[in-house]
Amino acid sequence: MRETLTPRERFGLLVIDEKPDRCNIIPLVTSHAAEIARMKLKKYYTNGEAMARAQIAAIEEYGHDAISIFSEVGIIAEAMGSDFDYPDDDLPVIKRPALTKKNIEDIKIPVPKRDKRLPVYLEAIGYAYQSLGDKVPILAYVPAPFTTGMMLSDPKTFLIQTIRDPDHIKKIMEKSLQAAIEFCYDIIDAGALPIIVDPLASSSVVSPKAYKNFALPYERALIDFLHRYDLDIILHICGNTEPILDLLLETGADLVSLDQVDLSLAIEKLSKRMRIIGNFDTSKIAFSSPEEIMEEVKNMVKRGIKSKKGYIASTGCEVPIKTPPENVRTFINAAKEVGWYWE
Amino acid sequence: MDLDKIKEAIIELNDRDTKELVANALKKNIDPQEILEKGLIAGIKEVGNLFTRKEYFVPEVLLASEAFYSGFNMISPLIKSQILKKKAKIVIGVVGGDIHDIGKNIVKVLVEASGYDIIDLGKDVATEKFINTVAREKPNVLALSSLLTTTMMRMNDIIKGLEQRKLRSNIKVIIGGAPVNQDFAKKIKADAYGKDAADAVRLIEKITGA
Repeated sequence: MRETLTPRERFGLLVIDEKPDRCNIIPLVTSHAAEIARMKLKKYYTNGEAMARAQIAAIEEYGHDAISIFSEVGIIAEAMGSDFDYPDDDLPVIKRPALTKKNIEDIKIPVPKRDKRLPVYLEAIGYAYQSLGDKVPILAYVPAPFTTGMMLSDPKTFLIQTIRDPDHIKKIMEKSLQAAIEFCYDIIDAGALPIIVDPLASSSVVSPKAYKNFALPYERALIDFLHRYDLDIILHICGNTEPILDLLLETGADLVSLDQVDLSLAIEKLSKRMRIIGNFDTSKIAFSSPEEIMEEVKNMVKRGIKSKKGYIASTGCEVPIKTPPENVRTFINAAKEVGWYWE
Repeated sequence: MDLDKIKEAIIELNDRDTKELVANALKKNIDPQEILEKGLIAGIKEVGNLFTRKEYFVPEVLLASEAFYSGFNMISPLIKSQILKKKAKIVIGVVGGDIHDIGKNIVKVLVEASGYDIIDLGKDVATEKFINTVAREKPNVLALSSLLTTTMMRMNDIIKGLEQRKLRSNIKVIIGGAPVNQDFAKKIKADAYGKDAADAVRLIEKITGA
C-alpha cells in the first residue's frame, strides 16, 4: 500500500470525518525523543531549540504522524510558583509546591512568553513549525486545571480537600484554568495544536464523582474556549478511565486519548461523537519482543479502525524514555500493515 | 458493639469519631490488642477492599488512613512490641525520579497494619540505595512503586543491580503503581505485581507464608 498523504493532511482529513489513506499513527514519543537525539534530558526540557531538534530527529527516525511538545505535567504549576529541581538525566522533579508557600489568592497567572519553562515550549513549537510545520501536525501538551492544581499543592492535602474542602479546590481550579487559557493563546499563536492532558483526574486517582465535580467542568471550559478558534481538541487522560467513559462525552473533546480501558468498550461508548486515540500498553512497548509487539499492535489497530469517527493508533501514555527504538519502529510498522482505510 | 463502631468510623473516614471511640473502648478496659485487630485493622482492611472494588479512590483511602492512625497512635504505646510481633521484614520505596508516594504510603499503612516490619525508604529513591538497603537489612520482600511511565524502567535497573550483587535469590521483589502490570512484572523478572494495597498484602502473605 502506498502512502498518498502528508501527516498534516492525514490529520486534517480525520478531523473533517473523511477517511485518510491509513489511520494516523502517533505513539506518544515525548521525552524519549531526547534519547533518539542522544541529548541529555535536562537540555531537552530547558531549551526550546533542543526540544524541537530532538522531536524532529524522532520524526526522521520513526516517521510517525505528529510532533509532541512535552516534558512533564508540572509545566504550568511551575510558572505559577511551584519549585522544581532539574536533574541532568531525569525529568524535572517537584521540590516545593506553590500552595505550601502562599495562598491561592496570591498566586499569579503566568505570562507564557516569560515565565519559567513555558517559553521553552513556545520556542520549541516555533522551531518545529519552521522546519516541519507544513507537513507534520505539532501537538503541545497542556495540563488541564485538575492536574495543574495538584502540582500546585501538596498532593495529599489536595486530594483530601476534594472531600473536605471543595470550595477551596474550585478556587484552585479557576486559577489553573485561567493559566491554561493564557498558555493556549500563545501555543496556538506559535503554530501548535493544544492537547489537553489530565492524568491526575483518572479513576486511578479520584472517584468518578470527584472527576465530575472538579475536573470535567474545567476540561470543558478549556475545550469550549479552544473551540472559538475552530480547533479540534484532543483530551488525553492516562491511567484507568473505564469508570468515567460516559462522562468523557460531556467534555466536548473532539478526540479522546485513552490508556487503561478496553478499546472496544471505548469505541462502543464514545465513537459516535469522538475520535479515539490509543491505547497500547506502555510497559509492553518498553519490554515486549518485537514479535509480540507486531502481533498485539495489529490486533489493536484492526479493532481501532472500526471506530466510526476515526482512530489514531497510539500508546496509552508516553513511550518510556529508554524504550528500544526497534520496538517503536515495530509499533509503527504493525500499524502501517493493517491500518489502511482504502484497499 | 464498640469494636464494630470503630471499624465503621474508619470506613466512614471519620478520624474524630475513631479517636473518641478508641478512647471510650480503652476506658471500658477492652483489650488494646482486640481494639487494634477487630476495630482499627478490620476497618482499614475493609477500606482496602472498597478500593479494590473501585468504590473508594485515593482521597477516600487517605482519609481512612488518617482515621486509622488517629486510633493506632493511642493504642500502639499500650501493646508494645511483644504483642505486635513482626511477621517478616519488608523494604518499600518509590523509584528514583518519581516523587509520587501516595500509593506507596497507602500500601505501607496496610502492610504495617497487617503486622509486618516495614522499612520505608521514601520517594525518589536512588537505585543504589535500594540495593544497599537490601544488602544491609536482608528483608524478605522488596516492594517497589512508580507512578510514571518515564520512571518505571528503574525497577528493571534495581532488579538487575540485585542480580549483580548476588542478592536477588534471597529476596522477593514485588512491584506496583499505575503504569505497571502483571506483564511488566514478568518482563523485568519481578516476583509479583500487586494491583492495589490490599493485593500487596495478599502477595506478601503468600510469599512469606506469614
